[in-house]
Amino acid sequence: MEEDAGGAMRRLSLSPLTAPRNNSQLPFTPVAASTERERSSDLLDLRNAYVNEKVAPELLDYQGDLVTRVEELIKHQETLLADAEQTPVGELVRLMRAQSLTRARYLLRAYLRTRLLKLERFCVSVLNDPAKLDQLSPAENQYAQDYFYEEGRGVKEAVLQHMPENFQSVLKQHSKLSLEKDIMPAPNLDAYVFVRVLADCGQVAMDAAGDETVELSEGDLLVTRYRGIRDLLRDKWLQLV
Amino acid sequence: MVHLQETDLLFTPAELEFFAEDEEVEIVPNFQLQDLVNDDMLNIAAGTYGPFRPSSITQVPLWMALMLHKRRKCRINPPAWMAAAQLEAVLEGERNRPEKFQALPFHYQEVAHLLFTHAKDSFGGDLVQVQDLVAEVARVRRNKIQAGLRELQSALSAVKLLDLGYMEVNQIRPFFKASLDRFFRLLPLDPERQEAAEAEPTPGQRPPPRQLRRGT
Repeated sequence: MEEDAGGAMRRLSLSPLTAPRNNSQLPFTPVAASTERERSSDLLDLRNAYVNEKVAPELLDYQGDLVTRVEELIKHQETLLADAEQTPVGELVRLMRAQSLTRARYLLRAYLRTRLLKLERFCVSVLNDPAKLDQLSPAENQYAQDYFYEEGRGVKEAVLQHMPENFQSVLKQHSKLSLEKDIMPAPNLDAYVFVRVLADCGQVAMDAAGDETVELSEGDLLVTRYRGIRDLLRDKWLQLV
Repeated sequence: MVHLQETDLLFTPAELEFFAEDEEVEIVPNFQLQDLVNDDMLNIAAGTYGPFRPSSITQVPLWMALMLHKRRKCRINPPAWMAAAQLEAVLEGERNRPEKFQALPFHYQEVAHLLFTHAKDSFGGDLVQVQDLVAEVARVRRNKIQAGLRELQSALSAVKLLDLGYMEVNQIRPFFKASLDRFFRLLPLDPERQEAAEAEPTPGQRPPPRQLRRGT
């Protein structure tokens, strides 16, 4: 989907969180109506990725390309920061550059940490799902396995080894009676989420049967169940808020 | 063992302010970048801004405007929607049309709070009036939102919230989401769904919606 550079997708790199519903309706110039100047949209994309990650009930796909681009951006700005001029204006430029860098680093950290938090929470269900595992970064993959191993060992040592024989499993409530791994915290995909629509989606089915449909137009803000909009979110038609 | 808390996945007002600081505002710098190569433009992580020349209007992110303003390097032009006349019209509209919200920027409360806190002099003699108007608009809207929440009686598959601000969304989020989640779980469920619903841990006590009034 990263490669999909079609018309609709193009628009999405604008600041969606600030895009007003319909410019012509507004009695004032929208704050975010920026001119045609070049903007680093990577940071805005990262902000949206962070908000998505924080709001979505499940662990989302790792935005590897985006993270790499932002890391490069930060590195580049750090070199510029190092050779700032020793003049009053140079000092001012240094301050602005440093502040922008601090903000970029914060976003990157917040994004990665939110993912780690969810990875720990849903560790077992992620490790059990090859498709999900594929969407982790190599570091996250390693972390998930280490975490599972260490936590399992800790729980076993502290509690489980003192339990009756059939209740010693980390993954099952009862070693023999449970047919599947039934004590892993799984994300609740039916949780309600707040969504902002980035591009007209037309009528969207909100359940598998397709009985209920909702029309989603650009700029709409709505509350709906995560399951219904999961694919639209992945393809960046929507943004969680 | 670290466990994901409900509160870990909520945005704090401070975080919403961080987002709002990316909004652009108009400033009038009183310095020159003296960068002949780049034509007085500034290239930083957030993008390219400028040109920075005395008395020439330029658009910058709010955080940069506030930083320059603090060092007395620029004057901030408050956004158009913050003009007293404009706000009076919005307030009028909010009062006369109970069924709909007036269009305001998504980050209107955050932007207003930041400007009122750090750049009071941008408003000149209008400061008190503008502050009152913004507070009154927010109050009328909050009452409307609370009245609207009373209508919430079942597990709707989607609820549209037209023209709410981010701060307002964030305020109603815990209650709104918890109610809908609960309604949904009480629906007659097919066996597959029932299983999914049972696997989900019961949400703990949630905090009441936050009040947004802070000292200004």
